[in-house]
Amino acid sequence: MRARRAVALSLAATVMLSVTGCGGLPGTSAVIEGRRLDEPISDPVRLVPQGPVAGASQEAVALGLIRAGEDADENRETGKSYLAPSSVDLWRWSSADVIVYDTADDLQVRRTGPDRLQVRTTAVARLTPEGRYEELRAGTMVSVTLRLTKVGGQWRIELPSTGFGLWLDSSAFDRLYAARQVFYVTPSGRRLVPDTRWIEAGTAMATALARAQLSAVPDYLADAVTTGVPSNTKLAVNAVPVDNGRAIVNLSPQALDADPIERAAMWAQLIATLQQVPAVGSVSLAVEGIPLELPGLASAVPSASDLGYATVPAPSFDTAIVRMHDRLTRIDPRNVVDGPPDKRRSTTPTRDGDPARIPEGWVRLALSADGKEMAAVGGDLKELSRWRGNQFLPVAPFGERLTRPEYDSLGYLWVGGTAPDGKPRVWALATGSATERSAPFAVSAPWLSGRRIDALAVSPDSTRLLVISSRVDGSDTQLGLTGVVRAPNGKPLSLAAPWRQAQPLTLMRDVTWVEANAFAVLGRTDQRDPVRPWVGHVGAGLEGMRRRGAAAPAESRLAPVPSGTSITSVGGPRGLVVITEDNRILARAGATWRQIATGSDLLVPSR
Amino acid sequence: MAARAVARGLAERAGSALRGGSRRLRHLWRASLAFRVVVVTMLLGLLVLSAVGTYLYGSIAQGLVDGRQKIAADDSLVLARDAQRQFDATDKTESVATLTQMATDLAKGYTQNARSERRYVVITRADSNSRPFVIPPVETSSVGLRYIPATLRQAVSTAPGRQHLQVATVTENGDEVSAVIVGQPIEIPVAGTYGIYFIYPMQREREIISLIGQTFLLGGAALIVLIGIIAFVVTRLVADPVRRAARVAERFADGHLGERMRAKGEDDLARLGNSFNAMATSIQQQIAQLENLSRVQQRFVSDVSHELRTPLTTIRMAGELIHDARSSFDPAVARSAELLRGELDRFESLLSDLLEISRFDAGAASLEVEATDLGACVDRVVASLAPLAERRGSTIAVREPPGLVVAEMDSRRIERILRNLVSNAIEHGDGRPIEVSLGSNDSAVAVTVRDHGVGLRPGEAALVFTRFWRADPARARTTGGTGLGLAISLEDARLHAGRLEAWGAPGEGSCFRLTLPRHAEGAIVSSPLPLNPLGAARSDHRLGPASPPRTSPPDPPPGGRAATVGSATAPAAAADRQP
Repeated sequence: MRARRAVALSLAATVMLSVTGCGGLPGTSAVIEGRRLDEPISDPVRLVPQGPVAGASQEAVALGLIRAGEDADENRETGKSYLAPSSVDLWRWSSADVIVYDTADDLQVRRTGPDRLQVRTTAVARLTPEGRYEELRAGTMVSVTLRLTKVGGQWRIELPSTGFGLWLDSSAFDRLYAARQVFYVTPSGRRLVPDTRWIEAGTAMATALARAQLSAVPDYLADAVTTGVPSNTKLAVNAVPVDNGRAIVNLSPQALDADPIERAAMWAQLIATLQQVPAVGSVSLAVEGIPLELPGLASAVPSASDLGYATVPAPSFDTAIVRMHDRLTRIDPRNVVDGPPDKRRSTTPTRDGDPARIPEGWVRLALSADGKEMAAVGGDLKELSRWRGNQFLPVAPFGERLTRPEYDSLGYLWVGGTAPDGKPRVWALATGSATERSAPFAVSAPWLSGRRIDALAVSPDSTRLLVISSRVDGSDTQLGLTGVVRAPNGKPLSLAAPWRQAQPLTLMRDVTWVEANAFAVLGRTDQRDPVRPWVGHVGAGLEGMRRRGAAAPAESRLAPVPSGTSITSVGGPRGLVVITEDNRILARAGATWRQIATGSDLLVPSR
Repeated sequence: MAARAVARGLAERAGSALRGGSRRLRHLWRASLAFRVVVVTMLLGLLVLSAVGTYLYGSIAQGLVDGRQKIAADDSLVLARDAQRQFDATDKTESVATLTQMATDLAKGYTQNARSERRYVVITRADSNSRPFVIPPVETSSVGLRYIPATLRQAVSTAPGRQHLQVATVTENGDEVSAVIVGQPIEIPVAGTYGIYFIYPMQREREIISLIGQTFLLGGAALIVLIGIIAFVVTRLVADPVRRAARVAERFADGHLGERMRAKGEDDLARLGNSFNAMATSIQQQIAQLENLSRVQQRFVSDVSHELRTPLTTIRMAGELIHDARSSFDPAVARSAELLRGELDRFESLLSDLLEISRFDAGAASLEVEATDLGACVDRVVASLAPLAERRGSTIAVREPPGLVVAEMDSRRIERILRNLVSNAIEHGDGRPIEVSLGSNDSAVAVTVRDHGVGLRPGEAALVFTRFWRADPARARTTGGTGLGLAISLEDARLHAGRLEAWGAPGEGSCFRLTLPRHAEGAIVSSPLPLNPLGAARSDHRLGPASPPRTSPPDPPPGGRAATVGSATAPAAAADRQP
C-alpha cells in the first residue's frame, strides 16, 4: 500500500516537473520551411468604386463607368448604376475583351454631339475572354462612342449595340487578373509544359483554373503536347471547393474514359495547375462525387512530382565557352571583375572534349546539350558544320541565310533559313554519336510562307520553338511561339500554328529561353528606341511594358545595348548575356550591363 | 568563539522549532481528518492545475510563435521580393561600393523601429557564393549577423527555393528576447547569391505570455485556496456529525445507555444516527432483559438458600442427635451417621457460600473498613491453618517487610480471602512449602500466596475465579470446598477496589496475589509484589529488603530466575481452584 502510494506520488511529481518544463516562448527552434519564393501573395485590397453622383456631367458619368470596371464585385452593381436600363445587358464585362491602358491620365473624353461622347485611350494590351493576353503595338488607340440619355433627370449611358467590355488601367488589371499556368504533358516522357492564362483573381480562381485545365490543347501546342483529360470532360459541379487546403475537383463521367496513364497525367496537370492558388495544398479528384483513385497513391496527392511529372527548368551554368577569332576558352560568366574588363584572365580550365579551335570562317556557334558537340554556319550563311571534339563533321549544303543553329535536349540540331527554292524553312538534324553522315530534314511549317526566319530558340523541354521571322524585305518582324510536333521516336515533324509574343517590338535580332515559360529577346519598340534585351513571359507580355507598381513602365526595362547582335543566358533572366557587334560580351548586372569578356560568341549547352 | 556558540544556539533553536513544527504537523495529520482532506485536496488540485495550466501556457506560447512566424513569413516575402526587384532594376553596379550602398539603403528602409513592432535586416553572402565580387555583410543594428544561426544560413544556401524560418534568442538593448528570423536568398547583380534575413523580436508575444503566466499563477493560487476552503467546509459538514457520533458511542460504551445521537433530516448521517439509536435502544432493552433475568436468578438462589436453611437446621439437629447416639448403633449405621454429619457440614457451608455470593450479586454486601495491620491478619490465618498444613505435611513461611503493613480494610473479609488462598495452597501444595509474602508501597499493600504443587495449565489462571470451576472435571465434588471460595474472594477484593490475580505454571506451582489500596478511597498505582515468582528476582530491589520468615519451616526454594515463565494473569476473572 505504502509502495503504491510512493509510486503514485513520484509519478505525479514527474508529470508535474515534465509539464512545467515546457512553457514560455521557445528560445531556439529547428529551421522550418516558409513559403515558396514564387508563391503568389494574396492581395486583399479591394477597391469599391463610387456610383454616379446627382447632377454629374456627361463626361463624369462616362469616366465613372470606365472606372467602375475596377470593382471587384462580381455583379458590378456600381457600374450598372451608370447605365440606362436598356443598356445593362450590353455591358459584357465577362464575355468581351478587356482593354488595358496605362493610367487614368490616358483616358480622353471628346464630345461628338449634344448627347454623344467619344472615350479614347492608348491601349497597352488586350485580354480575350479565353484569358489570352495580347500586347499591342505602342500607340495603339482604342475608342468607344457612348450616347447619353437622361434617366430620372440624371445622365445615364446607352452602350453601343455591339456591347462594351472592361477598360482597366494597368494597376487595376494587375489587381483583378493574375497570370497562371495550365499544364499539358509531352507525348513521350513525363514532362509538364506550361501554357499561360489570365484568370480573374479572387475566390473563384481555383474553379476558373480547373475549367481552363479541362479545355482542349491550344492551337499553338496542337499535337506537340497532349492532355490526360478526355475530350468533353467538364466540371460535374461548376465549382472547385478548397477544403482545408485540399482542392476537390469533381469531374463529369467522361473523365472515366482516361486510361491509367492519362489518368495519372490528368491528375498531375490538375495538381500543378491548382497549386498556384495560395490556399491549395493538395488535390483530390472525383467523378460525379465518387473519388477517383490511382493505384498505390493516396486519395489526395500533394504534388505533381509525386506522380513523376515535372516541368523542365532552364539550367544554369558555372562556365561558358568564349570564342575570339579561332580560339575557344572557358570562363566563369558570372565573374564580373570590379574594374576594367580587359584585366580579366581566364582561370577556368578547359574540359575534355572541348574543341580548341574553330576556324574563323565559321560563325554563329552552338553547343550541344551534353557539351560534346558544336555546330556553326559558314561565313556566307550557306553551310552548316559540326565538330565532335576536334573532329570536323561537314554537312552537305541544303539552304542559305542560315540562322544560328541550336541543339535541343533530345539531340536534334535546329537551324532556320531559306531553301534553295527560296521558301523559308526550318531544318532539324539528328546528332550524337553514329550520326556523322546524318542529313538535315525539313520540318513542316506552312505558316512561315512568305517570310524569312531570323532566329529560333528551342525551349528547355524541347516541346516549343520561338521563331523570329520577318517579311522578306525585313519589315513586320514577329516572334512566334510554336509547338514541335514529333514522331513517337522524337523526330521533329512539323511546327504548329504560332502564337505571337512580344507584339510591341518592331525589330528583333535574337531570342533565347531563360525559364520554362520565359524568354529574352533582343529588339526595340520603334525607330527611336535603342535596341535592348527584353525579358518576356509567354502569354504575359514583356517586362517594362506595363507599370507593375513602378512609377513608369520604362523604369523596369533593362539598359539598352544598341550594338547587341545575339543574346543568351547562363541561368535565368538574371544570367542574360549579350554579345555586341564589336565583340564585347556583356553580362547583366541589375538593369545594366557589365563587360565580362571579349569575343564573338559565348556558348552554353543547348543555347 | 562566542559568535559561533550563538550561531550554534540559534541553529539548535531553529532545528528544534522545525522539529516541533513537523511533530505538530504529523500529529495534526494523524489526528485531524479535516486537515488530511484539505491537504490532500489542495495537493491534488495543485497537481491538476499545474498540469492543465502548463499545457495551456505552452499551447498559447506555441500559438503566439506560430502566428508570429506566419506574419513574419508573409511580411518578409513581400520585402524580399521588393529588394529583389530593386536589385534587378538597378543600374548602379559598377563597383562594390555602390552595390553595398544600395544594399545598406534597402536594409535601412526595411528596418522598423516602432516600440512594439521591430524588424531588423541583415544581408550577407550565401555560403555557396564564391564570386570574387564581395559585398560586406550589411546589418542595420546591433541585432545583426551574429544572431543568424549557422543552420539557417546553411538552409538558405542549400535550399534556395523557399523561405526558411528559425527562432533564436537575440539581445536587444541588453534584453534577451526570442526572435523569429526569416531568411531567403536574393540575387544581387554581379555579387551573386546573398541571404536576406529579417529578424522579428517577439517583445509583444513575451509581454502577452508573461501576462498570461501571471494570470495563471494568481488565478491558480486563488483556485487552490478556494479548493482548500471548500474541502474544509465539506469535511466539516461530514466530520462534525461523525465526531458527535463518536462521542455518543464512547459515552454509550461507558455505560450511559440512555445516550442517543441527534438525527435530523434524511441524509446519510441522519440514517447513521437513526441506525445507531435503534441499535442502542435494542442493546439497552436486551441488557435490561438480561439484568432482569439475572436478578430473578439471583433472587431465586437467595430464596432457595434461605428456604433451605430452616429445614437444614432441623435436619442438622436431628443429625447431631443421631451422630451423638452412634455408639449405640451397629457399626454400619454408625458409619452412616458420621457420613451424614460430614455431608451436612458441607451442605451448610455450601449454603452459606451461596447466600454470600447472592448478597454480592444483589449488591447487598457492605464494607466495614478500618485501618488494620495486614500482617496481623496473615498471622491469624496462618495460625488457624497451621494444623491443616501440618496434616498435609506443608510448612508455611511468611515474609513480611519490617514494620506494620497497614491499610484501610474490612479485616473479616480480608481474612476470609487469605484463608481461602492459604487453604487452597495447602490443599494443592502436595505437601511442599508454602510462602506467604507481604509488601507495601505508597498506594497499595499486597499479599502473595505461593505453593509448589502441580500448578496451573496454560489458560487456567483465567478460569480459577469462575464459579464452580474445576481444574479436573473428572473429580467429583465430594471433596474440597464448595467451588465458590475464590469467586467470593474476588468479590471481596473488588469490594475493596482491590485486585485478586492468579499465576501458575505446570510443575512450578501457583501464586495468588491480593492487592489492596492503602486508603479506601485511593487507587492502586502498582502492586508492591510481583505476581510471577519466577520473575520476582528482577523486581526484588523495588520491594526493599524482606525480613526473614518469622516461622521456622524450611526456607522456600528460590524461584527459577532464568526459567521461561508461562504465566497468565486474570485480574478481573473470578475462579476457584476447585477440588
